[in-house]
Amino acid sequence: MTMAASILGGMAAQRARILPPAPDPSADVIDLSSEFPSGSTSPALRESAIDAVEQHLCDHYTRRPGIAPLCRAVAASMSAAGVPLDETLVTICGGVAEARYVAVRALAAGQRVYLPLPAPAVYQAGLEFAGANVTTFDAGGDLPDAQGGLLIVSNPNPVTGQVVAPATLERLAAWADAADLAIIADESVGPVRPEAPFVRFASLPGMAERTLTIGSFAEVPGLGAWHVSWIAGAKRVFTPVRDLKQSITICTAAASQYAALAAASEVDEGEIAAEVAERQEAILSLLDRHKVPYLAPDTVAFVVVQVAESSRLAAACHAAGVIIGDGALLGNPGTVRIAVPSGSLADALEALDAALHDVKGR
Amino acid sequence: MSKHHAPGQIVTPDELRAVAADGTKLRYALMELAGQIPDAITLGRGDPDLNTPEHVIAAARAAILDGRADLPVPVAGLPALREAVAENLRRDNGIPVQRDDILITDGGQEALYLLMQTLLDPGDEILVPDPRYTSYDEAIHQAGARMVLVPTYPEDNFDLRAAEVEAAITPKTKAILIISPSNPTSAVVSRANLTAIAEIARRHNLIVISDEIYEKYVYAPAEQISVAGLPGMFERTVTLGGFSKTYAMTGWRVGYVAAPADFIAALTAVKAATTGPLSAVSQYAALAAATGPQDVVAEYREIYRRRIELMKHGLADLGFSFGEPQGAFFVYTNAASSGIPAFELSYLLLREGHVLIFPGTAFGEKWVDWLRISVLQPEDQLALALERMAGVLARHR
Ligand SMILES: Cc1ncc(COP(=O)(O)O)c(C=O)c1O
Repeated sequence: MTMAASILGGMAAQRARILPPAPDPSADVIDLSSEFPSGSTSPALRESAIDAVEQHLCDHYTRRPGIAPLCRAVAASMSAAGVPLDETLVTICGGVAEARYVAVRALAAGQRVYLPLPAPAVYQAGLEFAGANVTTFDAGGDLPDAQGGLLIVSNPNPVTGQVVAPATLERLAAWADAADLAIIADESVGPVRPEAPFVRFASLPGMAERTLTIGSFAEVPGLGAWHVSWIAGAKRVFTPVRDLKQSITICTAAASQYAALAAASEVDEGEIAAEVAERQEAILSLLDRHKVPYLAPDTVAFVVVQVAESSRLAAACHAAGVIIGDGALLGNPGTVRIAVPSGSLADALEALDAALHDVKGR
Repeated sequence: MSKHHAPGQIVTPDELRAVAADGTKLRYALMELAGQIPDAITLGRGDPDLNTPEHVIAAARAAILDGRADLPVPVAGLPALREAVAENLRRDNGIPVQRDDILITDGGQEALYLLMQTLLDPGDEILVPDPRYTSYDEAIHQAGARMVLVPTYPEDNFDLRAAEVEAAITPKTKAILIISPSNPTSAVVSRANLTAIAEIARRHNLIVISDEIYEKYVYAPAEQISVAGLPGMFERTVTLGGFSKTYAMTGWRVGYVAAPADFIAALTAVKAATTGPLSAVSQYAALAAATGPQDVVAEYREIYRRRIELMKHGLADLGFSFGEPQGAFFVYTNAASSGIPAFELSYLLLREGHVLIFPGTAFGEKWVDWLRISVLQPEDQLALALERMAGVLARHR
């Protein structure tokens, strides 16, 4: 490296040091490190996206908040879940990483931030860049003394795959009300199992006016790679986040928005959950055969395995041709996260089987 | 100077006055207003009216049909796209880059945000030519750094003078921003100034951020020179580019950063934790643009050049002066002869003439007599816009 190259590289490294290295999916390995179901989008969805592309609807910047019918679809789905909203309180974002970052970066600036454990590492960049002061706590135990600040509720939690029990949510809501907290409800992980007691945080009494909800279209298999998500909520918490999103990327790629629109109108969530759940069962049976404990999943998107030496299992998986998420890096030490594969299910199972044999055999 | 109308004499709506001091918000507020006027001719936003080329559309279609659009792409970008961008930069710009020196971003917009967050620490100063694309203001402010403006002048077509750059340097200066061709002035920095600025950067150990998003729209005799291709500059220069303007692809949101690989690796980690990868389908579209036939760019360039000529003549007839546009697709014009301050004038032109044009104050506080006109409408619409402008001016002069 030339000396001057290290001028630039060195400066950036200072900032990058606080962040985990970027995952690097390659053609030779099966990447199961994500928190969304992989797979293929449906022929109907592809047709809709192609139509929009061929009509040149994707050539130009869209409205900054996103194409109007998509904003309306999100508003309608929030309203149906007990959070009445109109489309002016919705903004379409790039992937869920972007939505999380802009939400946290805008709302946590100079604030005390309350983060229930296990705290997913996905908020780290936003928190660091915002100069936030973070307090982690156990949502089941004593709640911290607080007066003002920001609460982040991840539901389902991206590092456990579990939903927060409604009673716990109600307790957090009462506390947020008394302590005057703003809330980011990161509800982007899914699909949720039909029997899981999932409740939108903003639908709890008094919470709509202090909550920003994050959602994603990546729960539709195959749509994860299109990187399209959304934020919606009360003006007070919505506006600064919307403005930051627009200043960072102007608007979200139009083709992705049209694909999401097709998903919003054509995809049956129940069907998807049932289809992905079947594949998830195959992984759970493999774990059962190996007598490896795992967290009871509330989402069908991934499985969280309890394993003391998570990094060793992750390395063994990599050697066997599968990348999985190491909980030590994701924010849930003592676990690994394995996304539910699609086309590669048989190969993935074989590789996981080999890795589990390898780790246990040593 | 404004002879007849003092600022505030023409009543502008509250929603405009409320955002008048924020260039970006002002531009969007004007766009909102224009959206309510069905026959408005929009010469505001830098969004090409031309279509994304058909071979790019076909490539996007193919990627969707065969399922490539559903497969995850690395945060740094599709390897083939990084390779193609590197090859084009080597060939066209003389920048010695390989695939690992390229990061694909969510438009040039995200690139500029990531760069500021990654390079600037609180208290740092960065030199920014004025007038400017004010999205930089927000990105620099978010990093806690301070923007130090370097003036440019119509007398030399808004060239960035090396002496002005050097005069603005303090012990806190970390970087020099160059936007060439410029938004909003359409200036292209001359070879003499660019070489001198490069020498200043080396002497003061500064970084150069070179925004070359309009690089393919440069009109002879002006020439596009990439700072990173100058001797000894690659290791201290970050080049920002993109597909939005070159290929009329603003909706696909594809930009890139070119810089030494160790910097790109760190920037990729920041991107992973902030915005994540860009949509796969957009990257396949960009790949087709980067590797496909380039004659479409020459075709678009000729279209913009003719439109700029038309606009210049029309503005001269209105009694407006301007620096000679050398690139991009804007004419930055001095409307002082109208006697109406630009902020009020742009509102009047929209309300009465149904023509959307941004005031210079959307690109810097001091440009109270200036207008930025983008020529992103067909020639007949430009001619009609000029006619309507003449009508408005005749009523108010
Ligand atoms: C100077 C300059 N840089 C960067 C951008 C960002 O464009 P995009 O994000 O569409 O690539 C623009 C857009 O107008 C610009 O004018």
